[in-house]
Amino acid sequence: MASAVPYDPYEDIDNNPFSEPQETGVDVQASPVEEQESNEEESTTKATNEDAQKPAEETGIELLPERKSKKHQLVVKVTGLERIGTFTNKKENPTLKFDISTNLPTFRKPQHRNIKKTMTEFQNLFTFLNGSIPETFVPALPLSSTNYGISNSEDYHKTIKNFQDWFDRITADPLILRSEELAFFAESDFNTYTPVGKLKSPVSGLKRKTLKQLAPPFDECLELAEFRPLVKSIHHLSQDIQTKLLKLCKLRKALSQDESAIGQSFKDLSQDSSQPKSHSKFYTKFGKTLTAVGDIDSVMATLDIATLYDGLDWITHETYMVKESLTNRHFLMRDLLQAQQTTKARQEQARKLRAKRDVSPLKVDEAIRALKLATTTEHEVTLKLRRITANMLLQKKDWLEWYDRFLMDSIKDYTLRKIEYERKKLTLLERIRSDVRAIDESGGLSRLGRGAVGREGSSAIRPSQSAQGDSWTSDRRSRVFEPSVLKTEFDASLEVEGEADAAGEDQYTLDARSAAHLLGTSSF
Amino acid sequence: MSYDDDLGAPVWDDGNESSNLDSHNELAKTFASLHAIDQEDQVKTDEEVDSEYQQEPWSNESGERKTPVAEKKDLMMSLAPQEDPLAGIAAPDATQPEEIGESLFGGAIKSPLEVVENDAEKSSLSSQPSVVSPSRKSHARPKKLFSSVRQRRRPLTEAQKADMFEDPLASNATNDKNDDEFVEESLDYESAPGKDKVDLLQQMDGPLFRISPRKSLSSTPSVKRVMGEEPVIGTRPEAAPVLDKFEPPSNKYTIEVVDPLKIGDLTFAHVEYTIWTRSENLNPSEVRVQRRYRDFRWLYRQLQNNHWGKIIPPPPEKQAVGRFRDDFVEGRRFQMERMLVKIAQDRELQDDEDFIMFLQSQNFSQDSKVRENLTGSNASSDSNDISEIHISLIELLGSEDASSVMRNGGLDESQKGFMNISFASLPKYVESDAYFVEQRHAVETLEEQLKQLCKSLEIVDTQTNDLASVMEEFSNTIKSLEELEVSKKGSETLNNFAEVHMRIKESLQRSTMQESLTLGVTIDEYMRSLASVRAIFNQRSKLGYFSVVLENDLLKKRAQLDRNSHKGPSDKVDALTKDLQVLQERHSKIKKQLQEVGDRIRRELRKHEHEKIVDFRNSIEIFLESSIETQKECIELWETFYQNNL
Repeated sequence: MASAVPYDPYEDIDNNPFSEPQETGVDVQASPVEEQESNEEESTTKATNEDAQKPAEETGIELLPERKSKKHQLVVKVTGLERIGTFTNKKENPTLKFDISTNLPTFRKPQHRNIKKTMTEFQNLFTFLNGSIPETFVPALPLSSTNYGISNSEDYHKTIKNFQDWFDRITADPLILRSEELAFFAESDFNTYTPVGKLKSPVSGLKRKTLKQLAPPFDECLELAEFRPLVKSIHHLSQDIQTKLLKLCKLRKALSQDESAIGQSFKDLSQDSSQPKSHSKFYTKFGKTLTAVGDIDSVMATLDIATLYDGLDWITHETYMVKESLTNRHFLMRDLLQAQQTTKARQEQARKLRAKRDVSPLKVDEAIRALKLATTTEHEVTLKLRRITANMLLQKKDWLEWYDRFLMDSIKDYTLRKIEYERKKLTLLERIRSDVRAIDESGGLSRLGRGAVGREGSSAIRPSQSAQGDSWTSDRRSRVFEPSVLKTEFDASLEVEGEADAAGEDQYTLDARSAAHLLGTSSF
Repeated sequence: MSYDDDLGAPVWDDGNESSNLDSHNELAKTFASLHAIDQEDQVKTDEEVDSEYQQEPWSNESGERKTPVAEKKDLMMSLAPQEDPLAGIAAPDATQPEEIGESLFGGAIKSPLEVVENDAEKSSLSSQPSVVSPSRKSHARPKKLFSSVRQRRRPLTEAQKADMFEDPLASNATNDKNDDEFVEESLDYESAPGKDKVDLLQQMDGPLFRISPRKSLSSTPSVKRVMGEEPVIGTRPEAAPVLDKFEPPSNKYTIEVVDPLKIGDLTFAHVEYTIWTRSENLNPSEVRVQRRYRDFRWLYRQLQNNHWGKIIPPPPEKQAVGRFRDDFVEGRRFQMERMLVKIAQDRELQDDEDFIMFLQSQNFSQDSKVRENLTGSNASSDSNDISEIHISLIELLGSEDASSVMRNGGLDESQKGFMNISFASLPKYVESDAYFVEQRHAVETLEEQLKQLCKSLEIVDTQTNDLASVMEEFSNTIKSLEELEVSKKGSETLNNFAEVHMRIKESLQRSTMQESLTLGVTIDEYMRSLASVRAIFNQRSKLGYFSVVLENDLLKKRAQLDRNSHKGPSDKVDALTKDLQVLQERHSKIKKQLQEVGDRIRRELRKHEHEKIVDFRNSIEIFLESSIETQKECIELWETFYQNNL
């Protein structure tokens, strides 16, 4: 009888028509050759299954046929951003405009121009992708608005840049690329998209919460086992840094207000009729400079938030998504354990039946069918898990690279802004210096007995920063000197009324370099 | 005296003028000689004065007025008994006024003021024979009555003698003269002093001033430059010529306040500071003494009393709690050092007897009491407010008159009703000179503004410190992110990023400390010196108030005299005439003082304004330079970080 043949659980692998997970409907067209290859490879994998040191790439590639061919491409170019409607809507639900060109068969035509999608639609798409593709870390959506404050050009460029980044990461992931949902998303009308495919939700709600409390199952893949706590720490630390940064910026803003108050006090001092006129003018100017310095501090606080805080914000979201994906993998591992137990139980049952002499063939058939089903399920889950593990190992590397690059970019952005505004502050302070010094001869260098130096004319007191580098160091800067630091947003307020600025330069004229600077912000 | 007219005119005009004129005729004789008296007084040597005074008491009953001095003396003498009719009944000593000139006991009974001193003296100087104490006190009062030198020395220990009375630069005789002049100083300050006095002063400090090299570095050129070249700041036409007159500060002294040391047990704990002085003026030229905060307050009050209308560099404010915290003690030390240095730089103040005593005396608690009683400065009963003042009657009227006034309960006695409750409205002195009104107002406005500024600075200071601490937290959090070692390069960058923040935090703390040390201290000092300025305004209005009170008394008296003289000559008329003369004299003294103080205030204000603006601007410059440097440091940090890591 069939029962006499010892059952090999892996025997029917070759017969199993199931070779790929069904949820990625796109790769049904995978060529039979590929399939064949993958099956062969799989068997070798089987042999070395016990070996944890096997190169991840190898396994990954043969488990993930999508990664093999690079023939499918999707290019998205974000062209614009619209903020309309109420304030909340403007802030939280902007409309993105983008062009698509692709050779994916899921799309009806290769070129789509001027697609408009709202943030809500993006969120729908994201939720669906995140649920339907457990193998991959779906990149978190960027923030709908930056801390530059909506309705200014910095915010506009930054948001567009963020979305462009997001699309780039989406299109770089072959698994996501093959999702039909992308096509549905792109080809639906404006503001009408809802996920078409059936969303097989991962464990959620109370069950998820309870399961998360349990110790994670044994993970044979050490890399991923370590990865989750790492991501979790990054998540918490980023949040921590964000809190601190926010506190810092709040303090800085309050401080800048008080600095302005000092400036105001000096201005008041100048109103005093008992002061000689010359001094009142000086006090006014000094007070205005202090106020402007305070304003610059406030601007810096805003920029700190807009650069580093926003960057960390995205990282926080990312890490959360990655962490949850890894959690989902844990759930799958639990499922596998369960499936293995079921199989074992069925096997046991079958063996018992075989030991008995007088069994009805009907019962034997039933047992064998149940065993087959359990085995299939177990196999399915095993395969799925392996596939996920393989993809995640690949993704982990990408993700860490992305994280590193992104964090560095944020810090770089932050630093550049810092430098720019600290320089502006210096410019402001240095501008008033000649006035302070000019009031009396016994000040300045003469205090050190070097009175004669630098007294002749204001030319002696030159701004310490110029195209030739900074006067206080001989190091050459790696970046080009930006003349824009010699002007500030607050110059207009500094001019004492009735007195034309000696420089006479119109600060609003846009020279080529600063124009390039303005337009080129996305180049970092 | 150029302000005589505008100062005096409105005040003396209101309704009083006619009576003034009347009395002027009657009492022309008395008044005419007043000015001369003061001058001649000064010219006389001590010996002459002493001998005259010693003779006077015995001859004054004759009523002859041979010399101006004699006349003055006589006037007071003869009027004394009548001023104190009640005292005669109440006390068995009523007959004492006749003996007023007697050397040993005369002074002891004269006034409550002296009795108090007596007690103090007795208790403090136990080694002194009890018989001597009254005489000592009486010579602690102005010395005209006695040849004070001999008597004063006897009771003192050697150390005290040396500290108190030996002027290193002058002989004993000079010293005595100085003492005498000192008492009279504020009276005569503006009136042309006698030649002797001028010579003496010149001898004393002339050479020291002139060799001072700092003269060439005076602030005067700066003002010219402001006028000539500075386009932004503009010109100061009216101030410039005035400022030219300011003397450069002279540096006769090198003064340091060091080593704050907590002394005493829990209940009487205080901090003592060591004052280390070096000066050619002193003998020995290097002195170390211990002083506590209270003593600095005393010095301030004493100098204020000695120099009316002079802006005295103020001591720091009192503070009740946290007196022993290190930073507070340090701040106070710094402020007190500045105070002493400022005093030492002032030409008038640096030679002040009390100042020199303050720098030298090893027995300060007693010496200070002696000096205080001598000048009636009331310096140790110090109120919290720097601008509050006390007008010493001894300074104002001379010791004779002052004691008789004190006996009667003060100059404004007639205004005080029963048990110090006044039923009539007090006469009010209305400042007549628009200049003073305006200046006073300006000072108050300025003070308000500076207070605002000071508050803002303080807030910025605390907030910057908060900022620094949050920055540290921030940097630490970044460090812990770095410790995850996500990637080698990344964690290196993060590490440096945290490092940069730490260093910026340090530079932030440095700069805020710098800020409070420059701008903060300067503004604080500015504010306190404004309080000192208000004090001189108060002095003026107090004097004005006295003059108004006296004027009222004068009118009353005169009316009384008029009524009585209708009935023909009598004892009462004589008495009233004498009374009137005393009042007249007081009045003219006070008026003169008022005038002088007014002049001096004008001078001082201009000088003060100039000095303060120089100070202020200097600290602004330091502040600016240091923030520029901080800024450069900050940029450098970021640039380096950028270059190395990004």
